[in-house]
Amino acid sequence: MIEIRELVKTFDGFAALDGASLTVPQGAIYGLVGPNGAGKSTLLRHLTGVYRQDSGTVTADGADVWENVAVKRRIASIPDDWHYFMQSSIRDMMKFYRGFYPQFNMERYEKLRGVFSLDEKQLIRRLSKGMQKQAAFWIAMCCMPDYLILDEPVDGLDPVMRRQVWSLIMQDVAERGTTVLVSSHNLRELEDVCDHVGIMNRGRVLLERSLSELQENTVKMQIVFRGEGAPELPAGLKLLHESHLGRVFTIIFRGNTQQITERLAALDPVYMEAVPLTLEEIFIYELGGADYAVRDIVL
Amino acid sequence: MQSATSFFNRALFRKNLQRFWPLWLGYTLIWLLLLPLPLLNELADYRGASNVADASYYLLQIGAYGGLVMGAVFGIFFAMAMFAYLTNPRATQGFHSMPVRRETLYATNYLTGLVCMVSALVLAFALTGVTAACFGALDLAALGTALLAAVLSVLFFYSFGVLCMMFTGQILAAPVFYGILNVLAAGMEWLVRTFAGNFLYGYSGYSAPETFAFLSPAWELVCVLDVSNVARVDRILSDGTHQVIQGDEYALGGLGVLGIYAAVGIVFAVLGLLVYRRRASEATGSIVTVPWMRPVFKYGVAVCAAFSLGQLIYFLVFGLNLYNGQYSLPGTVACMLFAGLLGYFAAEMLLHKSFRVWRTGRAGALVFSAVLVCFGVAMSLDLTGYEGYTPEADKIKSVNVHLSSGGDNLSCKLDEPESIEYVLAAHRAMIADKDRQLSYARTTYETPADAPYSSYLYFTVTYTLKDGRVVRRSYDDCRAFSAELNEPGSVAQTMTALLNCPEAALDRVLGELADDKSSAYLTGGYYDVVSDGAYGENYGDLTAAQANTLVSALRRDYEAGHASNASLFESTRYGGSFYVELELWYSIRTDEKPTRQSADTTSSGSVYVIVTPEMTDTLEALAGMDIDTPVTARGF
Repeated sequence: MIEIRELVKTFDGFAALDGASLTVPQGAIYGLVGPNGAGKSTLLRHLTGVYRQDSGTVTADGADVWENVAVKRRIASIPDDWHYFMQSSIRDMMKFYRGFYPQFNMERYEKLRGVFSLDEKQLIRRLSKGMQKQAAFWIAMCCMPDYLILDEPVDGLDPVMRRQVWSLIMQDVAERGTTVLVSSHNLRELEDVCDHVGIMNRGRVLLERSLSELQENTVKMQIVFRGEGAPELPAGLKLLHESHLGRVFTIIFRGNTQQITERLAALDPVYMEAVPLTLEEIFIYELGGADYAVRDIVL
Repeated sequence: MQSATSFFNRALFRKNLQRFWPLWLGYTLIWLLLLPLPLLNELADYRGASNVADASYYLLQIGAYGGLVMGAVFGIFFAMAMFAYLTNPRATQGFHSMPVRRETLYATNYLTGLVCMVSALVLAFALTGVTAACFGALDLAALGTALLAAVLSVLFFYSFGVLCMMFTGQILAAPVFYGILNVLAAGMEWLVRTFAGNFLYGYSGYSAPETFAFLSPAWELVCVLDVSNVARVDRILSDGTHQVIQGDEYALGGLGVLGIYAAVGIVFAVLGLLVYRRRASEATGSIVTVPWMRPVFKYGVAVCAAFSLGQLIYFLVFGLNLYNGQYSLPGTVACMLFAGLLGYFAAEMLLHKSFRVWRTGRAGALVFSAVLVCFGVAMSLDLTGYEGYTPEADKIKSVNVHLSSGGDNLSCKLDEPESIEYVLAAHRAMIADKDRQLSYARTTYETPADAPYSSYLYFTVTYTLKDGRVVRRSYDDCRAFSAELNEPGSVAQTMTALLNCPEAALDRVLGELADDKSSAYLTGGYYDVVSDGAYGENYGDLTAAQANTLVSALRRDYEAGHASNASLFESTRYGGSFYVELELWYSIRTDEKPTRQSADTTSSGSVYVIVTPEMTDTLEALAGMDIDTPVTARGF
């Protein structure tokens, strides 16, 4: 289990992380989402031992990550901008990683050769961005990590390879109990693979729940009221967003679907239906409450 | 669980060698071109007459100076190569996310560079040894010494380069820091001394770095390293003749100093590790990576710019047609302030990576300006009391005096209390006459037509106090006026009294031979009778016995008072109708056995004496040696 508590990191007086806390359960695929500059990459770099926190704790299975070789050997990461040596081929990088990860699995390396279809003797710098990403996955998966830290992992990959990569990751989670922490802006994709989600903004984790809890706790109601306009809604309902098209009102509430439906039924609407929310909608409406809403601007 | 710290990672070491082999190869090839190949050519040309000493000399020269230059140049190159990842954010994150501690990364990278550099040296010197051995010119001791010198240079300069890399996150800043720091202390000392020499009365002529030169490694090592003959021995044979035995082996001087620098290099390596442990990954790309070094860098650049660029600007804009003493302190400080602020804000821009630094830097700029102005005011008011200070007589052990004038000169060491009082009186007279002396320097160097008859003076005193401290003062381009010769306390009167004090007079006659308890042995000499300005018409060598006779005669002349009457305004030594130049050679007996050290030339010397027509005892002694002088015919 990965645990981050009250993590603070400042760069020249600017607090990139301002008391972020996060828990990734063992064997979970945890999606970390948030707007640009929320602090996602900074948080991940603490987990990979790149940054040292100003305060707070970063632990994996209860052990500090910073300068802890034993823990870091269980962590493999694929940053958005993977580092490789200019004159190195995939095979060279494999040998390099093998020198740092004692559990590096050559059998898996050979098996994955067929999956990625890359020329392992070609210089990595000559490969396309997507192929470099594949190379990074190839090597990282062979490190047999207990924790996989991914920053925009499938950015640059074609749809087939995306599916292939996610399949490999989920297979690893299922078979080896790998814990995956993934940061991405591709919420539709995360929705398909993640079982836990954390939303970050301004250096803090605003909320983190399992995806099902998150979806159960936020309701999108489509309602047609009698008469013109909307009547006053019952007191106590937590409204996140309201819009209407003609007489059809779309209102986002925070709360239990059944309870909200029962209370709105008291208004005797002509039509009322609870529609499932996508992760993207949850992200947008939650951050709207944190003063990061989509603004209607006429140019 | 925290794992035990390992300081070496084989995979990283191997990768480093794979990545940087071109640098390694280039370095090795240059060494091969410097050592075995030229030696092979040299020895092959003189086959059959191979000379071990010449080969040793070449080895030591290349080991010392080649090692110094190669170590200094390639030290920073290897440091940049091994730690280049710290200047690229992506590479920094890549390395630091690997399961390896910072200590291991540092130590492995450091060792890789060191192994590359030292292995090239070992290869080059081994091939040199084989080459020399093939021609029978192998001197193992010289080979080992040369290799040791080169390795020590590598150890210091490479570690220094690595330390520079730890303090910066910009790849190009590292060689700049490294280059500047190698000569910074000596350069700054020179600049500060030049400044003090221009504006501090009594401080002229001391611009050469000496106090902090050791902090400029490249500078210091160039000065210290020396290849010379082993032990030169001077012998005095039973008949008094002089024999010089000079060994044909060579030795490297300054190896001990190089060893100290190498030890400092090890300290730098450890310091580099400590800095690396504290260095944040996000500092990559910053000009200075360690927070506490940032103000040091900022104000350091400001001070350096003030003293270098500031003085240069003043000199170029105002001072091209001025002489020393005519420079304006307020003008110079204003230029220094301008240049210092330029440096300050340039440093601030580099630190903040932005041109907009006025808001963040203005407070510091104000502090810097205030300090610099206070410094200028303190200099002009002599708040430290430097200009007016003379040591108390009873605390002075000895004093070295150098007095150069339009007439006679004096250059000797005085230690009699009476003589010291003469020096102090002359020194105080110079201090009391400060305003007038400076006004002459500031107005013109041309003596006005109606000015009283004067003589230029260059007066330098170096007091050695009983507590070991040394106090030096130097006054250049000063004046003494003949009209003031009888005015007590004037420069002219006190300087003339100093010239003619008994110890000075004795020194003028006998120099280093003045002390009759000296262990110096006369070994011979040379004479030249100069009549009506004609040299080389009556000259010859003197035997040791003749030299001894002349020294006794000179001593009698001194005791009879024939050697006084020196003057600031006319040369009493060379001004007569004739004079005799004597050069008396001596050697000092030492019981030390020759060692494999550099030649020690201080065991012998010579005394140069001018015999004037008044020194009748000496002239008589010369006549007794059948050396004719103009007075020989006239009789004594």
